Amino acid sequence: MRTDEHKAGSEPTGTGPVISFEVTNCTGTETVNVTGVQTTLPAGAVAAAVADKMSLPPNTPWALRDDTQGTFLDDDKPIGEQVAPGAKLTVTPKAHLGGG
Amino acid sequence: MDAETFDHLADGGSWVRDAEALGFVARDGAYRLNGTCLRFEHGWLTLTAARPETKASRLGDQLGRPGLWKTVTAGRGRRASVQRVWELPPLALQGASEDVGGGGQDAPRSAFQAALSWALATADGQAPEGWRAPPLHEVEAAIPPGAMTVRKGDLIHQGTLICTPDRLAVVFPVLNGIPADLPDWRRKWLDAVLADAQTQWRLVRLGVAGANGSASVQAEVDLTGVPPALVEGMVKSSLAALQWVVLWLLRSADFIVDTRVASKALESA
Repeated sequence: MRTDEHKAGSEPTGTGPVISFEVTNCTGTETVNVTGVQTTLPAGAVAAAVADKMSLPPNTPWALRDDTQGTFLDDDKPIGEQVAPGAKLTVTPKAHLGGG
Repeated sequence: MDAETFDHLADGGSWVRDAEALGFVARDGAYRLNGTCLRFEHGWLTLTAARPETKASRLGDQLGRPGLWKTVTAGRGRRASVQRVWELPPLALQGASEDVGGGGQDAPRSAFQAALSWALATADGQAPEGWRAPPLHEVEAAIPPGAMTVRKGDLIHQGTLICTPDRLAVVFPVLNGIPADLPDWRRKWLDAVLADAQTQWRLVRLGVAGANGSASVQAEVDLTGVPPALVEGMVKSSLAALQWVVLWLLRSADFIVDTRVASKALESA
């Protein structure tokens, strides 16, 4: 996975297809183009890697949200099954209001 | 030889009889057969053989070859020599089932002998005749949760399990998309780091697959030919070894091919 300006879209590599997309942090202050992500990677692991790249706190669980669909990606499912090439995503902390 | 390490294999060191039954003869502190030397190193069953004269690189160009044989560099400086090694982790035999298969006249007597037969059968780069991969569900059941994903900071890679009737292997990308115009000195530097990792860490083979912009560095353990009794232990050991080696290499490999980073010291080396 790289977060610089390379190629967009899905392309084959020696280790299977990869996908590229755009990720913005939850405050909207930074956006990165993420390229060359293996489509078989679990979305949760990708969220953690993107958060690291954006220097977000490592001790927080992060999730990816598809801005077009308005849905959170399932951490355990392959990212290639959940987003289209060139998708716009937001990396956001997993947080709830507690009360339990 | 570290016989105590292998007490769990059989009572009274019957591994010696198993090795001798396959033709190994004790000589000069090791068991030998046709130029292949059998030793135990820190609990690992290790076979070594001289590499035939070849134009292949130190890495050996062995990606995709059936079995565990790989090329390593032994010794340093003028005494350095390129060898072929086959290494079996202790866990593979400790977890081996009693049923080593068949019960026929030619069936192995123990998991140890089955492992040795596997090594000898794949020594020439061919899969054992008649071997078939175990069922996919059986292999998947041996994979610990999360073991197919490796992440170090923002670098992340997913391994691939290859389980077809005639091949069983786990492959991890170390580096996707080596630039086609990568300077020669960087490519040599990358090859040296990969060769060093392949020598330093057991089980895992490394190499470059593909070409011209779609080339990638891959790490693999090829279990083609593995005896049924060893499948679970070998899958677990292979994934642990791959995780370790890929994590060890990720940053270095990514740094070497990053042409935005200049290094006068390495460029002139």
